Amino acid sequence: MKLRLVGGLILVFATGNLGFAVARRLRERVALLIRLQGLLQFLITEIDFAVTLFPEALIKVGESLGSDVNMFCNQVVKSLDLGLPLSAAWEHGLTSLVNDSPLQPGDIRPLLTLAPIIGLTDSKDQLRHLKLAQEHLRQRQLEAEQEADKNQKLWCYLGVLSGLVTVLILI
Amino acid sequence: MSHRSQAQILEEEIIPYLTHSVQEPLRCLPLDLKDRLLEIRLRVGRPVMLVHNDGDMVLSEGNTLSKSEMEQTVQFVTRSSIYACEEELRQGFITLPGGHRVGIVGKAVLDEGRIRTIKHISGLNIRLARQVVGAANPVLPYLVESNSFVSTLIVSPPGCGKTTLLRDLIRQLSTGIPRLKLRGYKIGVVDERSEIAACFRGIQQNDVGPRTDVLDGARKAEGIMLLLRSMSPEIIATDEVGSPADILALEEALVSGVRLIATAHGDGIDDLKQRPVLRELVERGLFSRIVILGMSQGAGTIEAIYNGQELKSVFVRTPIIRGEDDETKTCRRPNTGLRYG
Repeated sequence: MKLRLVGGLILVFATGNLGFAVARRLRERVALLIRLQGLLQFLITEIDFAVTLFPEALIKVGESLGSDVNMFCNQVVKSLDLGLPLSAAWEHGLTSLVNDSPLQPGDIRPLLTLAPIIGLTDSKDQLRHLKLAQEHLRQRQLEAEQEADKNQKLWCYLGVLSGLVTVLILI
Repeated sequence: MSHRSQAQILEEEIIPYLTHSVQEPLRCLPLDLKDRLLEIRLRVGRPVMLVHNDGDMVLSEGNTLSKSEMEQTVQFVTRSSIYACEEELRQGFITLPGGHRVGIVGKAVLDEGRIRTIKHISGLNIRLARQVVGAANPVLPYLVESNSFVSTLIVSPPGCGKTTLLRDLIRQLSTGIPRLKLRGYKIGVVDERSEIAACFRGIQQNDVGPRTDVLDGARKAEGIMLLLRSMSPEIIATDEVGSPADILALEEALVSGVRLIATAHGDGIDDLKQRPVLRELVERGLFSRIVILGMSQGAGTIEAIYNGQELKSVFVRTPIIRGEDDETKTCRRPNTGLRYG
């Protein structure tokens, strides 16, 4: 009996954890979308006020944001150092970012549209495009928030309850 | 300053900014050609041209530069930050680390009649910077009166070495010249086109001496007044004067007791006298010496030196070969001693 109880608890714990993990990814997606907007805001400041060169701006910005954004920035700078054009380096960095993150492919579309432009036009044009991309990211963030609100609890309950149901069936 | 061969400079300071299709043929050039290289000219849809001491040549027969290669080169040259080079684009050139200048042409975008920026860049001219240490040695003795340097105007057509001579004059006067009993002067340089000190993001790439303050990128007239107010220079140096505002500022500096070194485009003293603005400089004797450079015996030939007040020649013509002191041994162009100004 004791063994069954322990087994049941492990099962509920495992499925519950799975549900919580899915719910956490929903929250992380929102947080990352906010950090990416922060990245663009920092870039706007560096381009508009400090007139920092783009690779240096990326390094500075990466250091002040989360590790995932920092990794993205470092990846772009590394590709530039290898002699890649900025558009290719930017796209390459975004692909790596999506692969290891809770982001959905559509989330980085606003950033991908920046690839052929970023760093390569005058400051007025840069600001216009960066602000537009920021706005698109904000829209994605609102959608992600709605999805998280709707599904976060659902996944948590689903995890725990599916464990309990399985235990009951097995008993 | 460390002295490297022209080939090393090319490899370290120029080649990284070019696309692979240009890098490889450049690396394969013979060493003596690399040493004589003056300019690399890139044009969309045309072959890459090299300009050297004896003329020009195509880098790689049959290979033309594509639009995307040009765009990539512009990205490399601007470090993917065109927005940070707007002022340079307005002026038509970008300075690279090492003082090399990249001239830019394309479609000019105008704003109230003035160039705001250049887009659709179609041509780049990479001019390799070479400082000729000792280039001023032959003229210096003529520019000293009573153990003191006198105001000097250097005149020549483009490409005869005005700026090179000016740069070395600044360096030597700033350091001090014991053989002429000249102490080191405090010099203020208005480097409107970043050609004299070749500043890259505020750091001088050329040696202009220990007592030299460089105001980089400022308009000459404004810059001279700023230096007068703020840096108490004993000598003010600037390149290519020519506008009425420049002349007014130069006069203001002279009245303040500051000596001047300036350059101007011209083809001799008679040519100067026919130019409305420069004529005033000559007729009013603002400069004590006028040095005329030419090409009669190679780039950098001193054609004449005049006493600025009486317009009498004080010099017998000779080509500038090399400096006489030990430093001159580091010159990278032993043939003429001077490169384009």
